[in-house]
Amino acid sequence: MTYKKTIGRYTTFGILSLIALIQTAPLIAAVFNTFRSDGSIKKFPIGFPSQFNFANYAKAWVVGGYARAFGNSILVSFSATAVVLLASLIAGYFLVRSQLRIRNFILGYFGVALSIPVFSYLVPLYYSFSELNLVNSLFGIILIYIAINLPFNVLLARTFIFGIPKELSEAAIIDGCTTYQTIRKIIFPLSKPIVTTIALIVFVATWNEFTLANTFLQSPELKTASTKYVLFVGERGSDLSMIYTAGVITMLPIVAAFLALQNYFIDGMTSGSIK
Amino acid sequence: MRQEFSERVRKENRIAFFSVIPVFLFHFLIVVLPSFNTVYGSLTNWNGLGTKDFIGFGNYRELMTDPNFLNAIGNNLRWMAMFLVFPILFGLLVGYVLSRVEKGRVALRAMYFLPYVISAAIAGKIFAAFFNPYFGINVAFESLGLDFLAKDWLAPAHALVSVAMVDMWHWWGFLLVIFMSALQQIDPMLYESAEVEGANDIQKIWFITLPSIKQTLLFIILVTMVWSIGTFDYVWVMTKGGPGSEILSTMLYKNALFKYRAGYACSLSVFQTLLAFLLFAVFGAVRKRMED
Amino acid sequence: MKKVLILTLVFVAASGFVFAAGGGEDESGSVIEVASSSTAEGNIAVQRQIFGQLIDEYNAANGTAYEVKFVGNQGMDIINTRMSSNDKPDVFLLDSPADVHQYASDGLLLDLSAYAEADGWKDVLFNWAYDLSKSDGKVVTLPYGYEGMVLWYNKNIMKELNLVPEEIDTLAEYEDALRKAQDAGYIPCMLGSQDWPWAQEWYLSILYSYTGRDLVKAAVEGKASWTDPAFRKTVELYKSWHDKGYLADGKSYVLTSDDAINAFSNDKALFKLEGTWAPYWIVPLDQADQDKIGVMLHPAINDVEKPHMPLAVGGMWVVSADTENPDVSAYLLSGLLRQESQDDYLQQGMDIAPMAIEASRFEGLAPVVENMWSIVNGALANGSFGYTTWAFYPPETRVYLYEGIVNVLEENISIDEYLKEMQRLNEKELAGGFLPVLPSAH
Repeated sequence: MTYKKTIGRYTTFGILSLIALIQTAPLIAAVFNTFRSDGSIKKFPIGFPSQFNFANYAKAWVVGGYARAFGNSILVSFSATAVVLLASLIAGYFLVRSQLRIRNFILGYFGVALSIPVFSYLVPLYYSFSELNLVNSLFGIILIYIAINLPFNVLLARTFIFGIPKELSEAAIIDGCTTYQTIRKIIFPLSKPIVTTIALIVFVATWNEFTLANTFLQSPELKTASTKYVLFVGERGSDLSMIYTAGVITMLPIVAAFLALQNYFIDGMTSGSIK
Repeated sequence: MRQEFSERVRKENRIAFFSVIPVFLFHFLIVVLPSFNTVYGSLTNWNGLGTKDFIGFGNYRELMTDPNFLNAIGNNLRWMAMFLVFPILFGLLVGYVLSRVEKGRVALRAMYFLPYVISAAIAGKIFAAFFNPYFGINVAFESLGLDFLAKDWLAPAHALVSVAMVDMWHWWGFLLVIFMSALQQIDPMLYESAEVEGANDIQKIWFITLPSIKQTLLFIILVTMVWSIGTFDYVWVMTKGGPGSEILSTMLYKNALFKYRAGYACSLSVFQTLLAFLLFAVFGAVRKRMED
Repeated sequence: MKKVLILTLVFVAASGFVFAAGGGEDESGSVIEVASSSTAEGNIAVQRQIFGQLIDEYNAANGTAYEVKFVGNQGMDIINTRMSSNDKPDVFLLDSPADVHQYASDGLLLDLSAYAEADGWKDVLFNWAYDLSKSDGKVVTLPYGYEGMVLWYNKNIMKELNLVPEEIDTLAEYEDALRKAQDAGYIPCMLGSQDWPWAQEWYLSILYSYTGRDLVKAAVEGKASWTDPAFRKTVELYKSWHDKGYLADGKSYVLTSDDAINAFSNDKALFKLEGTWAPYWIVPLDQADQDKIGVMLHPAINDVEKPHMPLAVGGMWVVSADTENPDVSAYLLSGLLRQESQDDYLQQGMDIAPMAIEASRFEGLAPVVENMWSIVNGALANGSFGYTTWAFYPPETRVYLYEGIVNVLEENISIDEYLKEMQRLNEKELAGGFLPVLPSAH
């Protein structure tokens, strides 16, 4: 019995590790390419670097102006994440708990809103934003990022709050808490896993967003990190070692943020169990 | 007492109303209101720049007879079918297993999620290199004697599946994170008492896990359907929607940008939203039926 | 802990709004915004420097205080969006004559006729380029940067097969070379269009031009038909190359552009079809790899035409009709036609102006690049050029041309169906107001 169990555990672990390998192998190949020269990648697209020096990183960092770009990205992503997080939890709460008559309308609205392609509002939005002086402004892009991240995250927050027993918030209300006190004291603490998840989703989405940032931000000093790789894209083809390096540089802060949030997430796992 | 209660409900509703409406309005103003322009654009022969001449439903009539369009819808539906099955199943199963594993959970989850973070441009390039018939995985397959796997991965016959595989590689870790946060809502006591009664894993998943995360699962199914209609990045990076992998979004993009047919592109965009609306309505009806 | 985190988030968000709100710039009338589609940092730097010098000269001569704000990465998608709003750049770059036509007919472009006349564009530019500068009789654009389709080959394989590039002049000789390469186990001609569908039109641009330049011009203008037997024969030829595996082992639309480069630079292919932009991947290769690459014109495929090079313009500089500063904007464009401006472009590997360029300017480039330019210049001096699809065909017809050909190669549709659909689209676009701008070949 125990023998069988051990076998089972090893098999499970073996499969989980194999999946991890499939997930990371392409990324490792990409990271390897950041240590190779453009010419050698053009000849062999995948390969082991002959040496590990960081010249590509130094060059990409300087040419791409990543110090500044990271500043912009952090500002934009943090602001958008904070607002979306707050708005989704609040809206999500009321979409579950209130008796609002427009509740189903709002639900349907955000459901359909998920499908609206960027193309359908890009041109007219650019027109209005240029009239409002919001083009070439980080504030403008933050506003857009908040809006486009709302539908998914409001609905996600809703599904999660759905799983929190009604009795808890009712008890709080009977104890004399106002609605917002209930959200703050009951819902928020119990939603730790979803708070980190939403934060992660919005952060990654805004950090990686390209089309809108590339259109609405034209000044080099306002550009976000995700748009910087185009500096290594030529008219017909790219400097491949720089493209890979820029991609990895752009990715690093999110990986760091993810690992930092990961601990928070695990923390939520033990204390967040309900009942 | 009753009056007091309804007074309370009214007040609650007021708070709820004024909390939800700004969120709705904000999104409406920035995304939906400008999109109405696209609805109008779809009724014109707009070239993407200057004046638009009203042509009624001409674009929609053309859509209905455009073989490219029918082909693209077919591909979007195939895409949707793949995404409804594999990433969701995979995310759920791995999420379930991972939530019961003590050692290495943090590291594994991080590795599974990582591909979600990398940009489509880089992932597409790396996978295209893997698919390279002269140096890529085919060479490895051949040297392992697995010749039947050494295919022209990006040939029209299976380009869509190959690209979808790459996109799923990137996507399922995202679902895993969401599922795992939902799985944490499940009271561990439920599993413990099931174990006492001698339930196996499949029974536990079926009777405890799935019912507990039903809301999340339904939501992910909805999102998968809606986003499969609008998927773009990976297909564009890897094949530009070439033969065998044309989808609605690549068709839209080409019409707007390369063919100077922004009006036609608008009608595609409106169609995408209508299709999502339809899916949403059908989904809602089916769901209601099942719940009753 | 939690409180601290929330407070930090709120603080960052709040300060974000405050700082970010100040991000908008106010632009006074003395700033000329020049928007280019260039994305690469080096290309942007070169252009920024050239425009900076020009504006300094202008200011010194006229006692003005203009500034150039050069913005890169303004491709057609962004330019289209910006031109639909009130945030229009003064000077900007369009992709092709077809784009210029669309913009001009929507009244978005400044009439440059007077400036062109004063600065002698007609004398400086190649004739065909000057022809392209006009829309509806007025000069509205400065065609800038030309690119041509050429054929690259592997010198070692040539030698091994006892072939001499200079002696591959006719269709028979070319097919002979392809066959020999295949028999020796090489890929005869490399081309990969999976992620870059436009690679198909590279080849078709050559083949259609060789079918007959007058015929192409007439077909685009609606005076001849794409269903002409001559085009049919050409597509048959292309398909036969595909079927025999001459064309990328019959995988031209399965391979990506990178695959094609890998295979060619690893001595797996005799020829590689690509334009004059190929140095972007040739120059980064190791010296030994570079040295084995040679360049030639694609042989003619019939007796009607001699070997020549389908041409395209790399970009079309235009001035917005809404600019507050037409004089200085036009001055900037004329300044691009100086010989010394070409040095910077050549060094950076960018396209050069469509005008006679002193041979000495090509010296000091990588040998294969220098060789390329001398061949290109020689061809132009002989008055030989063809029409690239992306510069001269109606846009929908063009997209169908390179997407449809894959269906022909896959045998999903017949050659006749393919050409018939091209003809239908071409007619439709002419009826919809497309104005062909094909300079005459004679």
